[in-house]
Amino acid sequence: MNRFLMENGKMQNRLQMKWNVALKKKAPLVLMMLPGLIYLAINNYMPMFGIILAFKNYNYKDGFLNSAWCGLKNFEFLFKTKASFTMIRNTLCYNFVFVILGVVIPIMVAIAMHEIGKKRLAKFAQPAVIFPFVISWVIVGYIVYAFLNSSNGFVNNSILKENGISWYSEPQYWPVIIVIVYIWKTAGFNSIVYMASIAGIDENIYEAARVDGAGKLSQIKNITIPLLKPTIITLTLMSISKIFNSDFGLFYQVPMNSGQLYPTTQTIDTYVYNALMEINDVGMASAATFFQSIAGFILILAANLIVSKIDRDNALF
Amino acid sequence: MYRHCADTLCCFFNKMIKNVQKVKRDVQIKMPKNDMFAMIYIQVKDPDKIKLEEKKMKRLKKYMGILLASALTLSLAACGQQAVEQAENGQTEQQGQVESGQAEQATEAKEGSKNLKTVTIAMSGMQSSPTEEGIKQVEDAVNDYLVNELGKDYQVDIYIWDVGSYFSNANMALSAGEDLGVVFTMANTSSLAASGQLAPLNDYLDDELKETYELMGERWFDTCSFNGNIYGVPAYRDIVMDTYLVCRTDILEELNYDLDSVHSLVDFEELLLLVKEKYPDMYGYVPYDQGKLQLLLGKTGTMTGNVDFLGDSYYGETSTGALIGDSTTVENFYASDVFKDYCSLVYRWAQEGLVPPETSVSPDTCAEMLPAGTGFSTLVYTGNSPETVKEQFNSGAYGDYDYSVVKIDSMVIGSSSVGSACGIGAGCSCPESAADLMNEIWTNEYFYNLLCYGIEGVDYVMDENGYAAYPEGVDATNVPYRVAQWGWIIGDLSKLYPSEGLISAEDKKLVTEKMKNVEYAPAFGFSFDASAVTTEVSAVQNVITQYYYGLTNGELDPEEYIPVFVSELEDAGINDIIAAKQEQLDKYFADKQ
Repeated sequence: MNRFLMENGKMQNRLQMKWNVALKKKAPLVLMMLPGLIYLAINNYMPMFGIILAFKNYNYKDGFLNSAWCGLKNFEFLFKTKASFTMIRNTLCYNFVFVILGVVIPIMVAIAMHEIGKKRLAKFAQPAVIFPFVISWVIVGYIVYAFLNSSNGFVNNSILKENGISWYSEPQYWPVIIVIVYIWKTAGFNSIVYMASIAGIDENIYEAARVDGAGKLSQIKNITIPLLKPTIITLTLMSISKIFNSDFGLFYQVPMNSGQLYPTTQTIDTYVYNALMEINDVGMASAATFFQSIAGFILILAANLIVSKIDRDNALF
Repeated sequence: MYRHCADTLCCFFNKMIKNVQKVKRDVQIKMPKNDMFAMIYIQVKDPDKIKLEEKKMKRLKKYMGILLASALTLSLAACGQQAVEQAENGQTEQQGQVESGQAEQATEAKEGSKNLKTVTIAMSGMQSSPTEEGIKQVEDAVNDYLVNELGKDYQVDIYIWDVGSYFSNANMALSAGEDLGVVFTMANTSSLAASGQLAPLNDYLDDELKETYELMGERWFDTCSFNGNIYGVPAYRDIVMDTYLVCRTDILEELNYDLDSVHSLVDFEELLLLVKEKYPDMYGYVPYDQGKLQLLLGKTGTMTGNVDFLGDSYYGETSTGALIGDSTTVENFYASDVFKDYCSLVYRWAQEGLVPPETSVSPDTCAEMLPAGTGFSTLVYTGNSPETVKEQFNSGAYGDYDYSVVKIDSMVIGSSSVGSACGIGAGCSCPESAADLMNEIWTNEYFYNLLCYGIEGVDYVMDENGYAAYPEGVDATNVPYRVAQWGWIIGDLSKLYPSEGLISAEDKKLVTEKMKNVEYAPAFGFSFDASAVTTEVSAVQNVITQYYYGLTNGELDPEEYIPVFVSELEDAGINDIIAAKQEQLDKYFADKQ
């Protein structure tokens, strides 16, 4: 053991020195994190044990631990019914489109915002683009109703004067309508992360490119996008974990829960809501979210593995 | 002097650049051109001074850090304290906390000379919001009456939660097994019983609840049964709903049409066509509730016949098997002729423009369309007398128009009709006392009105007509305690004092009459236990939501869509549910013999 004489006269060995230094540096940081960690532990990690509810026939009197086990029976209503294929297909397809468009369009918005930069227009344009995110889905549902209403709606009365379409009874138009509404609502907010990343790119690179004769489009293609790669990969990986979830407000409020639109607007969340409104069954509801979370979890681990094999730096964990 | 200036200057510079190591390094590395500055930089490199400055900065930063951290923590703690205080102060009469109530109970018990048990009553405030003092006063009056006049051995604690959050509060309290005595179960007696949140009442039927049982009879109690046990005491009130047609008087007079000649939906169609001719932009019939046309209820002419939905919604929107007419075989309501005829009628009306299009998604109801003049009539289902309905519509809430009312039909009482009931929580410590208390509520007129109207002189005064009116200077906005709507959810409605705006003396007479002459469906009292077929029920429910509203609001062509609807229902397993229901129904009838 190599012992060292420290300034304050104490004898310590090398390991202890390292430990002391590390502790001194990290203790304040850990202390700052502690409230947040405690909150996370109580609110997010402890309730995880409730996942057993998905396999139980929950009875309020027997409680958590004593309710009867029922194997996989609670999952039947998700997979054995005819609507299962429709709803799972809808959920996955919509999320797939949302992931792709959720990268392309916010980046476009972010680049545009960056170009406006310090001009006075920015003070108006930036909040205006972000604003739709804070409107509640119920209100958005009524805004869409004002547009698509067959008797008084804007679209039927101005653009399609004679050839009015009854929008709420024709399911084939709704994939497009839902995607448009979703992009309108979330693109601005999601572009904030990209705006921050773009702002972090050094101006000199762009200057050098300009000097070399690169046009705007070329600059975007060769500088902005490659430098945004880490951000894009991180955000995309995170959205993969939510691939079996869907925004309930979007799929329930915007089509006004119209039954005729179910073939193209029903997702797992709205199906579970509609199915369980009558029978108040905690076990079945837990089974639905169990499936969504576990499937998402497995998918994100797999995706992360793939990404880490291709490009180690950009993997999430 | 130069040195002194340089000294101050360099201290100043030092303080500025100390934080940024890199800059300091840069500054030290960059070679100055000016000699004067060279002197300053040489000063900067004085190691002792640097150490001193560093130490001072470090201490400053440390103290700033501690100050900031403590400020944050204190503010968080203060926040938490404030929230707790707010919760205690802002705790309105509408929010009950069982813990504080139990502390109350403990002190009450200690004060009382006898060892009194406490029964808690949990009710919904409905449309009223009694004040905390009002509730306390009534509680004291009730306890005084119970202990001193009736000689009971228990006291009462009243919790009133506001109607919006009532069911979730009650559900949470029941599922936590708290000591709730008499609990208003809304219409969910069977689901609460299924999850074990209510205590069975079989033992008390001959004993504490004997008088109530004799008042209502076995069949009423059966509607609150589950798995062979009784779990609730239903509210004994006029559950016969009548169908009233409400039309614009001025248009009727224009057309010279006698409203009393309308007896069924077929007659009604005639009238609507006449209106459409005269006013092509007006919709003849507009819905009363949002999203549904609701022409399906009752036995309106030949359209629906008697349909007993066996505990499912009596609007027909959740039917997993019903009895049609006099048959005792459970059928798929949506495959029946009754449903098909109804859907064809409504579809025809929609094509002719007699009903608004897209009713399923439209937020407009008669409340918007009648005052705006885009609607002509609507149907109201209520147990009130026609005069009360007329008052409701002519009160100005529906525009400046005058409305006439005619009764079209009455409902048959099926199991679905009995909704409100009160049960005893599974965690109640003294269920016999709770049962006894319920018996008092149902049979003791004075006690019942004490609970509903409050204390005489303070919350109400009896006027010369025998009506319970507000005392001097008090009205609906500042009365301490008045929950007269409880007449409809608890107790025996015929014992409630009449009051203006709520129930008139004529209405009361009507109620008592109707209760005596009511027509019961053969399966009244049957309730279905769906725990074996929950998967099928949820799948069927989903299919119903998909097609039902489109078909019954006239948006989908029944010729095309009813076969699709029925085949999807069968794929979802409705026949399994029907078989299970049939089995249970046969057993129910067999037990009755």
